[in-house]
Amino acid sequence: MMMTESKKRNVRVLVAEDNEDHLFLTVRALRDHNDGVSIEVDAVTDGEEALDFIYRRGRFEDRPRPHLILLDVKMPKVNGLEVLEQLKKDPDLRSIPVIMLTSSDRPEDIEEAYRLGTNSYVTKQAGLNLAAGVADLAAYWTERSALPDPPD
Amino acid sequence: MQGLLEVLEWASLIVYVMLAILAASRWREQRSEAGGWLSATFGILAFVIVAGRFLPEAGTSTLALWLAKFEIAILVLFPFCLHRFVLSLRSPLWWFPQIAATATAAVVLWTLALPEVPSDDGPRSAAFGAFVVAVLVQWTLLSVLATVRLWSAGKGQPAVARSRMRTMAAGAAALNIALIIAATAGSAEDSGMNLLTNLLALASALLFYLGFAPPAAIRQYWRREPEKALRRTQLDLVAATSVSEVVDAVLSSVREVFGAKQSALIDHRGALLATQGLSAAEATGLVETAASGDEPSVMVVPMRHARLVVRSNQLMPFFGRDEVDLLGSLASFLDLALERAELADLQRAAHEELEAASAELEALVYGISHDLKSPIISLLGYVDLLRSDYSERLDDDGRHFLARMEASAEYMQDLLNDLLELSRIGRMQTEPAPVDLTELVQDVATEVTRRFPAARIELSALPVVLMNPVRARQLFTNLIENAGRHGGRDDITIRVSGERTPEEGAVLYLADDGKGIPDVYREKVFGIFERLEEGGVSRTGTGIGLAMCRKILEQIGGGIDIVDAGPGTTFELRFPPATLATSPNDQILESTA
Repeated sequence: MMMTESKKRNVRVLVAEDNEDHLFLTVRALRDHNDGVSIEVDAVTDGEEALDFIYRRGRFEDRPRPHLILLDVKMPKVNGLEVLEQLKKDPDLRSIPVIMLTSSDRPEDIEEAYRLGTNSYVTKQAGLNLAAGVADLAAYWTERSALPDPPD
Repeated sequence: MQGLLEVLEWASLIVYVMLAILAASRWREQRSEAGGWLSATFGILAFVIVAGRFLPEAGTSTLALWLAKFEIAILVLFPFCLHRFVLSLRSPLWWFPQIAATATAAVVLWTLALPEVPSDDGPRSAAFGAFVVAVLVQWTLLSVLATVRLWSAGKGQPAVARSRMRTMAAGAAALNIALIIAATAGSAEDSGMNLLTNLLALASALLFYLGFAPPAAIRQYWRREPEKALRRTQLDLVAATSVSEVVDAVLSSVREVFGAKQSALIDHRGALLATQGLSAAEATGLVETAASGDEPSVMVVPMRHARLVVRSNQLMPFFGRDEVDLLGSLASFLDLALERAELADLQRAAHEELEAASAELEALVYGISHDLKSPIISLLGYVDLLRSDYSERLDDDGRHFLARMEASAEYMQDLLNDLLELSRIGRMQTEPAPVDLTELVQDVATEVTRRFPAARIELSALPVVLMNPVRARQLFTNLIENAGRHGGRDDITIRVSGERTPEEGAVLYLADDGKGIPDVYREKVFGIFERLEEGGVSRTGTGIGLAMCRKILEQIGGGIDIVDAGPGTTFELRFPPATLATSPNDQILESTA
């Protein structure tokens, strides 16, 4: 069955990534993914900006909250785990699924992320093509999974 | 009755004479002031008693009179000497020394000035009665003072010293009471009083004797408390694993058991390890005092690994011989404990240093691998985009270059992952679990033969070992892949077999019929980044695999080597006995090939 562009579900994804190449490849893979959903991507390059975006502060005041958040672990200013901790402690925001997308496969980081309440932990590495990995991720989380409406 | 009195008198006489001889001979050995006064004290008692026994009853002759007067004058000196003995051990109290000397001198002069000395049962003149009162006052004053001071000095003293001092104090008190009774009873015919006086005199003699030279059994009885405490300390010392624990155990014991007010422990380099009851600066002074030997109350207990300097009080050298002995026996324990603790401390420091270095290395490896992985991920991502978006615009050469770029990036990624893995082995301590190697190798074989379809893998039954399952898989994957990759033929046969020896654990052989590895390289291939073939991207691996295998086996106390057996390469893998699961799988090594 053919779906028209307008009937596609719209999913907003926030990507927080400090490496501009990774950011480019991730955003590109998400935007390229249009099976059944239309993904709208916002990108920030450090943890502080990510928090500003989610709390709709400063220049992000008018931006709607995302359905899904992709967080790198190693980021300047506020790292991904700290962003995760703040979000998951906030009763208003903790319903937004967070996926850690990182090149760190340290067992400590993985454990800490799940302890803080991440919804998934995906490593970019070992032969895994980043674009393909993000495409899989998008397929699973935006297409096959049901996501809650983001809090206002 | 008379007979009993005789016996008592003789017994007292013998004990006092023995005491006097003992005190004199000890004083000759030690020449201490206290020893001198005590020797004089006991000498006086012995003299008075012997004189009273053998000199004629006071008669009317001038000689007899002077003898009697002399006897009394000597007797009057007894409490003075006892008092001086106590004074030599403890600092004088107020103006008592002057009073004591004056009173004694007055009474002695009065004695010598006596016109007559009535016999025991003769009538006493009023003047003589006054003299008797004066003697009693002088005697009692000094004696009580000495007794009280001796008794109170025992407070806070180690057990044996305290008991000895208090026993002597009791002796002095008994003698004083005997004298008072004898002097006031009047008639010597009152045999009840006479008996009491004699009993008290004998008791006093025995008490003095016990205090001054306690027999072994009594000593042991008094020593049981400090010895118990000492045994506790010895246990603490045996259990102590650091110098600070050793020091704590010893110094508190030195305070409690030996009543040491101050003590310091100095190590063999002269450095101060610890002090008790004084500051570090004062400790230096104490050590100097000890070295000069001027103060008998400061003792040094020399040991091989340290010196213990102890300041006890002034009584210790006189009364504390037992404690000094105990201190000596503690010292040998202390010595051993210190030696052990020093080693343990060194080891701990070295271990901590190693841990720190290891943690630093871990952080470094993670940092590097993260930072190096990022550009590879980017590179691979762009190669992918290039291929998907621009493939049509590239010719065969261009696509080939892309493929080579991709292979290189992937190879670099493998290298990084392997390096990371290698650095993790051993640092990540995981619980070992029973791993059925037969199952595991079969599994690995299936996986590997997908990449090397012509290869054949045969295996006989292998043991179950206790190790990290992930590492076990890495080990066999690396080895079997290694054979497939470097064997030099596609139809390579890899044979895995094992034998179990109860003492040595298990030995596994992994043999292939490939081209083999020349003797000279058999050790080298286990080095990191060592490859026998030209380095390149295609099939040669990262050169880390065998290093990883060796590290995995060494981590569990085993090893791996290449041995001479057959035409190809044979790896010998050794698993120590501790890794062998004692389970019903014991018979598993019976070949089923």
